[in-house]
Amino acid sequence: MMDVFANLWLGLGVSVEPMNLLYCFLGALIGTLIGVLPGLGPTATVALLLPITFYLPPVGALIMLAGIFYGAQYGGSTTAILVKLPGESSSVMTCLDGNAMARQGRGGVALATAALASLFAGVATTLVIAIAGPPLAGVALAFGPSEYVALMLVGLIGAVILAHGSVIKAVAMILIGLLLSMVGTDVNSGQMRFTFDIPQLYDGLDFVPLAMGLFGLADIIINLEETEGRGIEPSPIHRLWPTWQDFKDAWPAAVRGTALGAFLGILPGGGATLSAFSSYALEKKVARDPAAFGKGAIQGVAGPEAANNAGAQASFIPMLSLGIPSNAVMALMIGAMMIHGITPGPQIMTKQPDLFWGMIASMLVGNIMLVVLNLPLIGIWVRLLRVPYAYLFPAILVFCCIGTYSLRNDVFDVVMMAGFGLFGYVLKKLDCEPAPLLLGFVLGPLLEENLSRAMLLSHGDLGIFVSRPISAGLMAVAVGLLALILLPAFRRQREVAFKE
Amino acid sequence: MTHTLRSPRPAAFRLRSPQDLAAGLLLAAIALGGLWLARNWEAGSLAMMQAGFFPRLVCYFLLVSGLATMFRGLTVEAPAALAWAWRPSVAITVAVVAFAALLDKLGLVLAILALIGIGGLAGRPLRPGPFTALWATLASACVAIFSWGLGLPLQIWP
Repeated sequence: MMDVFANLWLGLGVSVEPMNLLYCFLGALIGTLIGVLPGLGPTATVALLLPITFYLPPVGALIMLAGIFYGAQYGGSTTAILVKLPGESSSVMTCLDGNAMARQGRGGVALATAALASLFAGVATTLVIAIAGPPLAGVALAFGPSEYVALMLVGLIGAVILAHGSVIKAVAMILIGLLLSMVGTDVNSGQMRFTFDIPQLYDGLDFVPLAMGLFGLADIIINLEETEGRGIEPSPIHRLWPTWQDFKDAWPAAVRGTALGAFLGILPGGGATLSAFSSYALEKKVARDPAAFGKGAIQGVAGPEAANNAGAQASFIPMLSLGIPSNAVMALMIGAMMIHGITPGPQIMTKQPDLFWGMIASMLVGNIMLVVLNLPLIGIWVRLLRVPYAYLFPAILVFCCIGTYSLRNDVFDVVMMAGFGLFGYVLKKLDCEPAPLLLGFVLGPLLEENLSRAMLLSHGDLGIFVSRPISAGLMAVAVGLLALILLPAFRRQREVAFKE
Repeated sequence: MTHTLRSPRPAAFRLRSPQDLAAGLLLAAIALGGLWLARNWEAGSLAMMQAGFFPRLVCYFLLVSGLATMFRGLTVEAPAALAWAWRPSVAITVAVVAFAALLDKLGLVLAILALIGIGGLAGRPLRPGPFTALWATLASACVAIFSWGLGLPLQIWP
């Protein structure tokens, strides 16, 4: 235990050196400014800004990259709340209630809640990483393919719970997401799947045109339709800061979200996204008034925001200790480390303690810096909401188009986005929700890979899912959730909704 | 459900929700399309999955949910609203496609003009004055952020 604090102290010493503090600040600032642009999520932001860090010393470069990452993550939540455009899959859940709050004139409260929940999650997870990082990395190693499959089933069934409306349609949306995730070259056999001989599809679909189309464009069409072309009226801002009641409502959700995120984030593969989705499902489950979700429940912002930050941060554990990137951002970080001549892996902790602990301590510093930086900005962001829709929606269109284009400098992605926008509108007309579709899309490749591996290991015996303890436990959770959905009380609720 | 009393025909054959029926048809069509595209891919076995296994698995599930949704459209009452807003949906889609078509040929500034000009028709178009101001602001902001700031290789003028 003393070791941990001695180490953290060493790390803090490194991260509060004036130059490192400056890099951390600059990273968080630039990351927020770029991340706020719709369509530029953390992955795109880190990729765009990576070259800047080549000129810095290794520790400074990694600290700055971590700052950029947190900044981009938080900037993405800001856009999700203000204009309902998720820059990355992990902020999809924030869109739902965060944007509903913004439309009720509580945009400032939502932004402050997101910032504070993220700060809490960031600080708590940093301590978790410092104390439990090395042993926890072992837990992640105990996860075999069957455990992953079981975990993803839990996540997918959770997504069904959080969709309102028909259960069958929510399941169908997940399946369509899985189907879309298969577009491209199959990694094992090299078979082209659903590519229609279009070269741009050989590498698969990208998340950004899909999410921008389904959420951004479809939403503009729906808003214009519902208001007969006038567009949504900007609602008056009632208050900027959370009340004591808001605070009391939000903190348990933030704590639960942090715990979920810290646990799920360690597991390689979409830690932040799965954490945010599960946290939203959990909050909706434990809430006294589940009907408020989707209509501006503060728990629906605090929980997922805490979870995605904790998840994103915990994903540094497998990256630093095992050298396994758990998502695209971590893969970029490893790339950056390699460029500086650092090989991530177990030896990094012993051979370069100042780097390892410096980076961990800089997470602490970076999170605090982010909140200090962003709380004063809330007033400015919220003013964006007062821009009349006739000006706002063309601006959103422009940023969606350029953001999508900037991914690969290919207009093909922009055309894809237009197509998904239309598809999103069709789904809305048919009362199907796009959120489960995105989860299916994100988890698809992992699910397929792990399912086939699990079956390969067990020679086609499905019993493997119940014979291994962790996977059996997760399967039990999945079945329990399924039973909950099918319970009479749940069905009655849904039928009430149908009658209206 | 009281409507069954008034129903002149057997309940199962009356269309209750065109929305669900349409959704079910769409899902089933996607599933069948997927199965058709995957017809030549090797499926392998449970123990040795090949490229065609997972797509088929997902498509079969999707087909079942499509059929279930269609069945529900015949049995469960739901809102019938299926009106389609042509003006915003067409204007937005055409605007984005026009942007994509023009960007490489005429450059960013004119592509933005097309995007917000056509896109503006989705709502109530702005008057020429405010429209020009919006165009100038968005175009200069985009050039400043994406071309100068982030160094994207964007063509700005024709």
